[in-house]
Amino acid sequence: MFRSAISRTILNASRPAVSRVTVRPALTRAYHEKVISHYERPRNVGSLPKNDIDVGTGLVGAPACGDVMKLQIRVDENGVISDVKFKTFGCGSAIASSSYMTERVKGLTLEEAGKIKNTEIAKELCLPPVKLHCSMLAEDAIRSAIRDYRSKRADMANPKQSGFIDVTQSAVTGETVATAHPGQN
Amino acid sequence: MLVRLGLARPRTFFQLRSIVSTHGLTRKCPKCSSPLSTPLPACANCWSISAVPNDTPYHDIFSLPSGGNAFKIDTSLLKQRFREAQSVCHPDTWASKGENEEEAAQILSSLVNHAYQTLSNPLSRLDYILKTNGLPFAEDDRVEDTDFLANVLMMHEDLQEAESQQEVERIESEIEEQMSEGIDEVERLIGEQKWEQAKELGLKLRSLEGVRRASRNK
Repeated sequence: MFRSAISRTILNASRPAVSRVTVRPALTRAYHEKVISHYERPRNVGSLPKNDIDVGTGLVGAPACGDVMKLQIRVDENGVISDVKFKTFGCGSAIASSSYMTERVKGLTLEEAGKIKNTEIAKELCLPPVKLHCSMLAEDAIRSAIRDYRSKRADMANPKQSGFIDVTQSAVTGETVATAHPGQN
Repeated sequence: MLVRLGLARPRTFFQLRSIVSTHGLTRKCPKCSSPLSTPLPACANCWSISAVPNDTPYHDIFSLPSGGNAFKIDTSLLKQRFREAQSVCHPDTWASKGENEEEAAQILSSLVNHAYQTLSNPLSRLDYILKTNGLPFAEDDRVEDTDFLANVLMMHEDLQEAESQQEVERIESEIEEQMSEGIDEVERLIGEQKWEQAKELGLKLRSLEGVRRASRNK
């Protein structure tokens, strides 16, 4: 099972590295109070039903730290993020970054949420330079969730049509005509 | 910083250079030409020792074949060669031979240790081989396979919710099984010089390593 899972993606080229803006290094303490607060009392931990049509799921993994992050958004009819949940397995900074991100995106439109930069998270949580990649992971997670939501909606707007037969009967002649519309797939 | 901690000022490059051998690893003492028992320039005949450059290939330090498949390593041979190497350059042996000798022994010995740690662990060995082939792991590397990630996430969750030792052990054995399959596959890929694919698989192995770490803290 593992083999098939790995060999499948081995053949896919990895995406190009995205250049990141680095932030000014944080001073002194490795963990700022805000990190500790989000780490000890992470906000919005949990899951949303991933098959719901109004839920987008972002799942990202950064093996440098062995971090895995799942971030889910529920989007209302106005395109606003009404609910967010996350689950992160990794270091304190990764947990804090995703917890902060969930608070940050609630109530935003998808467009606004997609614009949040990792530098903002890093600055807000005073992450030291060695932990910047944790904030990058949170940025990737929200973008991936938005992408998932959008592709779900796109699929719904343009579903694969199943075949049907159109049957009409003329009220004048009583003639019945049946037309077959084969499915598109 | 160094001053505040009371550490000695680091030697400058020129000072250091005098104790670094530029001869490469030959099995001949650069000074008295007598044969050496290991590839390291540490001679028990004329008591001369010099450090080797940090970028000396780790396989060469232990006379392991690096052509062919650099990932494939005879671990018991590596261990034996490591002990031999450590015995010829152990700083205690050289402490009485002079300040330069002792320092060269320290540099050499820490390189030997580091090379051994790197080569003996499959994941760090892979990291090293990828680095020497221009594809080092980076912080913004991502595992792209979401099915695999979902599986890793599930293992983390199972581990978190595990209530008995048996459950933890069941997850651990699943991790070990997947890792050992993955490592076999890495060996094959490195043998075929498929660096990109080896790296992608290495990233997955690192994610599994994350679960393994979590299970140890359980």
